[in-house]
Amino acid sequence: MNHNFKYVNGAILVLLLQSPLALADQAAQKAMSLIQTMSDAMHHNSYSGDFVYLHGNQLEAMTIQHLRTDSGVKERLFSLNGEAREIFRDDENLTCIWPASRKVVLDKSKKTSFSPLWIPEDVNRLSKFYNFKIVGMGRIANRDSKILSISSKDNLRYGMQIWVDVKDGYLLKSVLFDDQNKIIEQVMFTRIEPLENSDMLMVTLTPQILPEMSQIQSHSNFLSTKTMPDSAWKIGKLPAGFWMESSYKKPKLMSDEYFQHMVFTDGLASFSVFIEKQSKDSLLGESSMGAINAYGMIVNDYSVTAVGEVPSATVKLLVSTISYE
Amino acid sequence: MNKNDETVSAFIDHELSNSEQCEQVDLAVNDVNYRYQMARYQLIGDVMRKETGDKINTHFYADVSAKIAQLEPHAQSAKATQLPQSNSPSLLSQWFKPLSGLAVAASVAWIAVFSLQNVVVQNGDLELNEQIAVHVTSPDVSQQVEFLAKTPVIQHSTPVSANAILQPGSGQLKWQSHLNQPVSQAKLNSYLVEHTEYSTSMQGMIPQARVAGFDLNR
Amino acid sequence: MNSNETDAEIVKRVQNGDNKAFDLLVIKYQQRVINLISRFVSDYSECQDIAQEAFIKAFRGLHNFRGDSQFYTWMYRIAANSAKNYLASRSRKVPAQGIDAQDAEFYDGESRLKDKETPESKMLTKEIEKTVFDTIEKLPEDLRTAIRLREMQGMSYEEIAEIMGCPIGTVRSRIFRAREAIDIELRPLIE
Repeated sequence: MNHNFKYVNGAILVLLLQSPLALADQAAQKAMSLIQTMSDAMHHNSYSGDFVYLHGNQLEAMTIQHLRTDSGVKERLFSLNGEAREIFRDDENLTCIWPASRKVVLDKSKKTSFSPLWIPEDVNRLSKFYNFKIVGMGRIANRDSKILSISSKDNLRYGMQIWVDVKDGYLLKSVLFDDQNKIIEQVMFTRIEPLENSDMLMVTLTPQILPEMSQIQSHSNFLSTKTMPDSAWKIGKLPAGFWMESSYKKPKLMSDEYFQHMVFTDGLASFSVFIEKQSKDSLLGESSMGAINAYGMIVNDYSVTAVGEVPSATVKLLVSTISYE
Repeated sequence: MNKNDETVSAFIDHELSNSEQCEQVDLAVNDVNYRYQMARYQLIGDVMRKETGDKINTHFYADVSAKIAQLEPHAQSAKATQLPQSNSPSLLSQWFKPLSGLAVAASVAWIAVFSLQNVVVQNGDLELNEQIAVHVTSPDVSQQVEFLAKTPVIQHSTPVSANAILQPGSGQLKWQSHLNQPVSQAKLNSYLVEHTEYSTSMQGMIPQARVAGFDLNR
Repeated sequence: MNSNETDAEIVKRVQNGDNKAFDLLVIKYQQRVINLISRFVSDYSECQDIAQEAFIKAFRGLHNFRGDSQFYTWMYRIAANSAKNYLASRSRKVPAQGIDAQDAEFYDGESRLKDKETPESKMLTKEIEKTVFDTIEKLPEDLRTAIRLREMQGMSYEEIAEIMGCPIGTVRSRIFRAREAIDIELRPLIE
């Protein structure tokens, strides 16, 4: 008993001697580990599931089929309510189809991972702006899950909670919060299960473009150039923790003009800034759609618009400081 | 209306009225020259779209037609059994179904939402941990769903709203203007698609769910 | 009446015993079916044979087609399975990549067909292509624009009319005149 008492006392002492920062780091590391598990499961496994996407008071129901083969990943997402919409993705191509509207959006796939959550590399950097913590257990889609909280330390980014399946590592639920802890959007699986490959499944996972469909948008991604924005554009102030991740110059559809596209991220959240010649449909001021906020203004006859899954203050902050010299 | 060449052109583009289209089907079926002309027009389109490959076979359909003609009578397509009846007076109503290319998506009319952490609002009081199953029809919703996402383990969260009513979405997510100024849905949606695709922190299913959730009206 | 409705009407006629009606479906979908099969089979002659077999299978099975899906969807599956069965029968590995309808459907201008073509057939193909494109280039601009919007952008007459600022009837006439001009040049090569 004395031995046990010493042992317990020793353990308590070790815990007490650990700094809050060290504990926080450990919590963050555990959280990262859970995210990694989830990312691996969602990328490397083949699964099929039904989920609901809630935003405001709107509910969208969708089904996802995610197939992993030796030659890569094929994925299909389609809506279960409203106008039928489908998105097909593989390692090379992205196709969005609206059959009733006879519209098709084609693009080359840019994604290297289908993980529903980016695995941040720099945990320490993220820890300055987010708190990571496994906060408990839950049950979603008849599966036990661990609940991970990623809470924002300021009002420039959203916080979130994710539920990760204990057995298979699937992402079961994700909730996005604003700085008032109000839920902005949620994604929750109601069913998720392994997916078996078959000939018919391969057909199902292939987009069917019918003759009466018109190509409404075709991104010439192979013509886009990864390049720094024109030096005349100055960004006065970046929101804390955000940096410019990438910058592109892309041709506009059926035009000789180009637009610039800059992507900013803090490692978890992101938004894009688009700069192009002013037109009658340029955004002036704020707009929002669910968790996505946009802010636009005219600078020197150019339309500058920021769009992203960040609070409106963030997009407004950056756009307001952009100038042309 | 008889066959004239301009009508053949409009026929293959499906730009005639129902009755005209049916009439042209009649003419095409009974006139081999009509079919040859259709085949040539089809070839023009295939060539323009560079879909013809390295070798164009100008006799393909004729070969298939000949092989079908050689099939034994019993192997040929049997007369249709009784066609499904329809109340619609339209000639094609018993066949025409506005389905998307993959019928599964568009024909699904029900989903079952099992929310295992729902809180049901009854008489203004919250009841925890009740499991409710809600059937949502689509696109015609016959029930409104009360849904609360309350997660007791979240230390600082509050429910969205105790009286939140969820409307089944109609794929009509739209950009809202904060200044009562018109907002170009198409423009912002195109930006959203670009952002979704280029941002490495927005990967996978959830951002695509947002893209799939919006209405692509031009 | 859109494409699917026309297909449905034609299917009904075939099911009622009008075999010639099936020709219309073959004419409409033959190239796409061949292109789909070419994703699996590189030899062009084999592609054509398999495509013909697929159409015949579709014809034979048409009495079972209930219209729950579009005809092309159904035809597509038959063609894909025909290709796979062909490869399986020759113990060749089915490409793990599976079908990419985008390549079969689209205007990518690429083909994986390695055909046992004769010099004459290759020359004819080139001749046909050159004739089509040369004739288009010589068309008056309004005709050229109309047919390009129709064939390459897949626009409806109504959409083209809006873009070109003219009545739908004018669009219909322009597209027809463009086709006719090309057809006049093409006929000697084909017949």
